[in-house]
Amino acid sequence: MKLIKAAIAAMAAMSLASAALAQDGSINVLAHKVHQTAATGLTAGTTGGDVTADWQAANGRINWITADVGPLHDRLFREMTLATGNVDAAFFLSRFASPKIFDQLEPLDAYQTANPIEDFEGLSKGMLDGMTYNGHLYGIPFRHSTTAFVYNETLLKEAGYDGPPKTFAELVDMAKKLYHVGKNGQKVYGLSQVGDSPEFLLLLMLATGKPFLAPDYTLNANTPEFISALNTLKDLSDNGGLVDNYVSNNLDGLISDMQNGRAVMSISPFNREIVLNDKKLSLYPGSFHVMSVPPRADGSLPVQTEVWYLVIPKNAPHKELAWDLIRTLSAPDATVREALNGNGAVRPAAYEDPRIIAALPSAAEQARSVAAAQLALPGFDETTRAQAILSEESQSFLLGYQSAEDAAANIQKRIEPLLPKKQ
Amino acid sequence: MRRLTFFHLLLLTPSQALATIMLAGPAVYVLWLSFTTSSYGLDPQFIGLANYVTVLTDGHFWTAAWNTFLIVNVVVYAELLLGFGMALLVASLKKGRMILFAVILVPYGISEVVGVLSWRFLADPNIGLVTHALGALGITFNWPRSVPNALTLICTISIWHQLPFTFVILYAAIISVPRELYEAARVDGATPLQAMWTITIPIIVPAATLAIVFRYIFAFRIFSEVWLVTKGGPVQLTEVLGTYLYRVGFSFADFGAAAATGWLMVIGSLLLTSMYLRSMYRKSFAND
Repeated sequence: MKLIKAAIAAMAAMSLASAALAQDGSINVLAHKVHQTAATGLTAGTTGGDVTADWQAANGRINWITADVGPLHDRLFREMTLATGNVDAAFFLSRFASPKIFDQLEPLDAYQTANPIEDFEGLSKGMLDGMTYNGHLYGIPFRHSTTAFVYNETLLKEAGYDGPPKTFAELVDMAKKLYHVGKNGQKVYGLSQVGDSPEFLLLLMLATGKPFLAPDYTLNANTPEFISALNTLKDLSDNGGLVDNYVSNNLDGLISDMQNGRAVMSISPFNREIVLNDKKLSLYPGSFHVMSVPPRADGSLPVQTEVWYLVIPKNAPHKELAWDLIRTLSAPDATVREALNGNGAVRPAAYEDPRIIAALPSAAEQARSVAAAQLALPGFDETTRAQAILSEESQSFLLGYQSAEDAAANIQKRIEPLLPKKQ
Repeated sequence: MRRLTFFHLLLLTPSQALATIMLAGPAVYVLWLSFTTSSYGLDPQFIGLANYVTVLTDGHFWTAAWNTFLIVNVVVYAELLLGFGMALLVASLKKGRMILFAVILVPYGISEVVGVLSWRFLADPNIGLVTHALGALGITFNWPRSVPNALTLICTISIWHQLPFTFVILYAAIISVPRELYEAARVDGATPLQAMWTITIPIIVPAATLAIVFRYIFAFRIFSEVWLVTKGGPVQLTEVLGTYLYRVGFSFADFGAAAATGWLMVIGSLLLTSMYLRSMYRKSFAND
């Protein structure tokens, strides 16, 4: 009986403690871990410091709710259906933008007019346009995730190469030639890429000179260019140019492959090399370098980007406070400090800052890539379903269930009805 | 036995009402949702049976249904056989029974996510210990590129995790068999195999039926083993009804179709267990 009473008392104490914790935070921010790291600099290797420290001293604690991309947006969308949500500000990825979602976000124009962000014009105009709908702005860009080329210099030299590939075609060729079985029996592949979403295939298509889905929603699936991209993917997959478990590989797998020398190269966002060079986790610390994705034959860069925006849900309980935090995180100096914490800066001028140039050897390359970058996929209501179809049909071709031509035709046929009607 | 009076019913009403509201309320809501078109930011609009038509005409649903049927039957009967064997072994031990009992129960105490991810790592095509061990035996195991390999891995993980449940039920049934029956059988010259077939198995059938029914219902909802390992791939050919529902509801934000899938799963699991439920009902109320 005593034990039962003690258990009940302990449970009551725990519930009170958790209630107290919830009330202590002045503002709830829904984010990915990388955003929290960028804003607070609380991870080893970051040098920008805590950008939110002064703001928290003045306004109260920020309660960071972090999740991976899918669960983060799932949580955000469900919060937005409530009469009053629990999320004051959220980080939102460009691929999920659609008219249905804009209707549930707070327009930010009035906030910008009343309490403007410092040097608002210094933010990337293209990125701002990505969250402008019907003449209203719904999000402030915070982070770009722009593709770069990351390579292990040590393994490249061991394979007899003087340096990284100079063109995209050379990259594909090099990836296949780099495959070998090491002395310890470990297979070493040319590239490691995430395969549980179709970004790499979209980049292979972009490398042909044509986007898979144009900004005006023209779908280029059933085209010679896309069939060529599919064939390149299969060629890489069948000849060791791409890790064997590509179709199920996720971000953790990619990082592990690179850190442990199971893959030599990867097309990944800028600043990924910081994690790969981690002395505690990597077998090749200091060996990873980053540069722009090697150019097409005509010299243009096939670079994809996705943008994370700061948004305020329409049902947020503390909108003014949320906007004040967004102002703090979007200021020019904050952008530089966040970049020093591993963030992709959304102000082109940030890459000319001496602190960035000193800390990021890839600053010039980043600026070059950001200037050439295109959105991986324009947002629309059925983006997720379209991506699932693209993954399914391309995997079916990769595993030999259908030809590239059939896959391309099926993708065109299945995705086209999902696209917004052109006006 | 005394009949229930109005006073008895009145006293039972609060708990029954609470149970009804807690269990039936959400179920009725989901049923209503299955007749509507509903998504984030949209008010539900009644569309009749359109969601059920959409789901039942979707090839992916039938792939998921077949995979679920296959996996459920493989894991339930594999667990039954393995659980029975292990229960007999443990029951026959004179020393170390409790230690072995605890070791067998360990997988059940491990968080499902931790267990699944550990198995995913062990079965990694390049660096997994299990993959290397199978390779030493001449077996190629590459589940990202092979649907049969992927389904085998999923079944293995499910059996590893849920076997203790079946084992405990069967073990309890086996040790409750009166010892005198075995002594009598020995006196009559029965071999151990004959004793098992004529004494043990008939007596533990009710417990085994219970284990099968519970495992059918739980296994029908299989999700994490698939989602964390293959996410339904490659080519969505390892999809099960649980992951299909999740994808439709939370990836595609089509709540109506997801609700329809949920109710189809209820009907499916009832059909799958109907034979056993009927047998249990008959045995329970045989004297009424």
